[in-house]
Amino acid sequence: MQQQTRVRLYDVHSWTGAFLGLFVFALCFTGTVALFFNELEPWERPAARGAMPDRPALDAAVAAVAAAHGDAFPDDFLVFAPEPYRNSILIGFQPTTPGAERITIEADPSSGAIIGPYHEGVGRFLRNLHTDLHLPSPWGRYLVGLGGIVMLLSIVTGIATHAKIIKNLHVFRPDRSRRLAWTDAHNVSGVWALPFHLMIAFTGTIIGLAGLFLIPLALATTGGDQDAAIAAIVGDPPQAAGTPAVMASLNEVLHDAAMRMPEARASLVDVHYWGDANATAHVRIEDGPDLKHVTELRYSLSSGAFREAWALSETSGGRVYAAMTPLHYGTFGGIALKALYAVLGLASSFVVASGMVVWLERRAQRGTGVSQRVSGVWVGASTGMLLATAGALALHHALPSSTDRVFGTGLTYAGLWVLAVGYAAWRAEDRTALRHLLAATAVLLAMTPLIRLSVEGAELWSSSLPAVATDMTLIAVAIATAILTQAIPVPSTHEKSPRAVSPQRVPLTRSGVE
Amino acid sequence: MTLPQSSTSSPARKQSNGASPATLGTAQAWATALLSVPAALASGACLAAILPVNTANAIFSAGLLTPVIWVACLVWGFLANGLLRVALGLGFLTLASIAIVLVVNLVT
Repeated sequence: MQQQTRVRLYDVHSWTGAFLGLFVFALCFTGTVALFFNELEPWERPAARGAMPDRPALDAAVAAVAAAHGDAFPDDFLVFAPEPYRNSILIGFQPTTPGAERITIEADPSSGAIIGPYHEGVGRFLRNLHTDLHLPSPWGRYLVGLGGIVMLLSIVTGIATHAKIIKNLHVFRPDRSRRLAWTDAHNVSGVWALPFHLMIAFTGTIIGLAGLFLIPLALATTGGDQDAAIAAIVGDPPQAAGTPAVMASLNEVLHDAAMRMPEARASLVDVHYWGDANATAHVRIEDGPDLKHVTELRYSLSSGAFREAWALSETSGGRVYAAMTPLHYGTFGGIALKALYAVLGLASSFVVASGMVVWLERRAQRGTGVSQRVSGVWVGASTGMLLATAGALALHHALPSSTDRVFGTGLTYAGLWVLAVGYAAWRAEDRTALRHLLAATAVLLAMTPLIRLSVEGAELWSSSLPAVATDMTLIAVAIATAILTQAIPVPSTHEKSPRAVSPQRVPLTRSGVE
Repeated sequence: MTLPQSSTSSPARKQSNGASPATLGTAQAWATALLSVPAALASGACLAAILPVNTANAIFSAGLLTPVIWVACLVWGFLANGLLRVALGLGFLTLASIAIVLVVNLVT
């Protein structure tokens, strides 16, 4: 590759990171935490704890919710069966009342009695931040998909820029200059986890932009009819007969589905035309031991008979597409795979963060007008997300009601992030700001289990196992963060700042290594 | 990567007229970023129209290839020699793809 080409690709790599690094960092970090949004539920809500009943009372729950909402209860709704990390039934629907927002009701898994409206906790808050940026659908998802394109571009240009990519696997020189140490750390974490970075960026792009891609694809294949394009993939939607019928038991439907696919989890029942002679229940099988993300077992609700099994992976293109979501969220290999994903996700976040530090250091050494305050803002904006996450977790149990927690999580997260950015900008010394923000994160994480136990009034070991495991994990992460904080060198008053060095005296290269 | 020259003395950055041939212009960068969107979407649609497979497979395959085309358009645009070449190249790709989609839809 010509040197001029490589220099220009380096420029693209650098400026892409400089302009959009924070956005990509936010996606990587929130995605890493959001991997565990299911596992966090028993820790967040006592109602989610306990052993699942063999046959959850879906019929009683639907009847209770329908009775409570009267005519506003629609004939299309979703029933979420209890899961290993949520021992309750959820019923989600769009009320027929004009202008009403979509709601989800939580019900007891054994009796079907209504517990109350289902409110999202910290895990789901972070998951929605990762998937939609809490923006209206579909714009948030499209923006996240564009983040995937940016990440792909950064990876491709990063690979092309580095001629000796294999050498980067084992080059780490922390004893040399600060910039070189960060550059080596950026390259090592980037190259070692390269397949993961590529996979997560590609699958994220597909998931985020699938809706956008469908528009021109439908135009090309079905004359612009998006419904026809969707029907070509998932089959024709059911039609109502217009004649009422007695509905079969959803309990039996779910039980039959579980018997047909015992290795997977029948988690969601998608009900269409409830009460109609053509009513159907599509039982969705998720989190199986393979990469087939969506498999449906379809039943007639007027007779309760099994009609057909459908999988997105029935076509060759669908087989590849079906793998995108489990690959992205690591749902096909249990908690051990998710832990590996978390480590690699943190590596992705670190690659972005260290790349930005290298860019700032390089510009500062060239004397191109990057101040300590700019570095501080970057440190505050990136480390602030760690602090905000820890703060949201810590405050979750301190808030009095689940309604308060919905608003409290968002306010805590945004407030702590703004505070972190402001503090780091005010300190105007990035290493000091980094130490302080990480130390605050460690303290909040260590306090979180104590706050939960003091609020719930439970002994540590008498809670449910997932809740205790979450507490232990939080304490371990707090200790790791504290150790990391101690490892960051304190800037000496006699230390010559790299920014004080004349650009003429610093040998610079265009390489990512030297 | 190991480039032997420093950025301040790189021959790639030196020209007799003082211009920096390796530096990407802001206008070209923006043009590439914006024009790559219709180019990638139209190319994906074109692929879906001409692939000799059923509708579902055509949608899946073209959908999976669209981000690859998008990134390729971005890299090509950033490396292209000048704003005009970017506009012509990505514009032509967009219009040619749309034309192929229209022709295929008319024929079939």
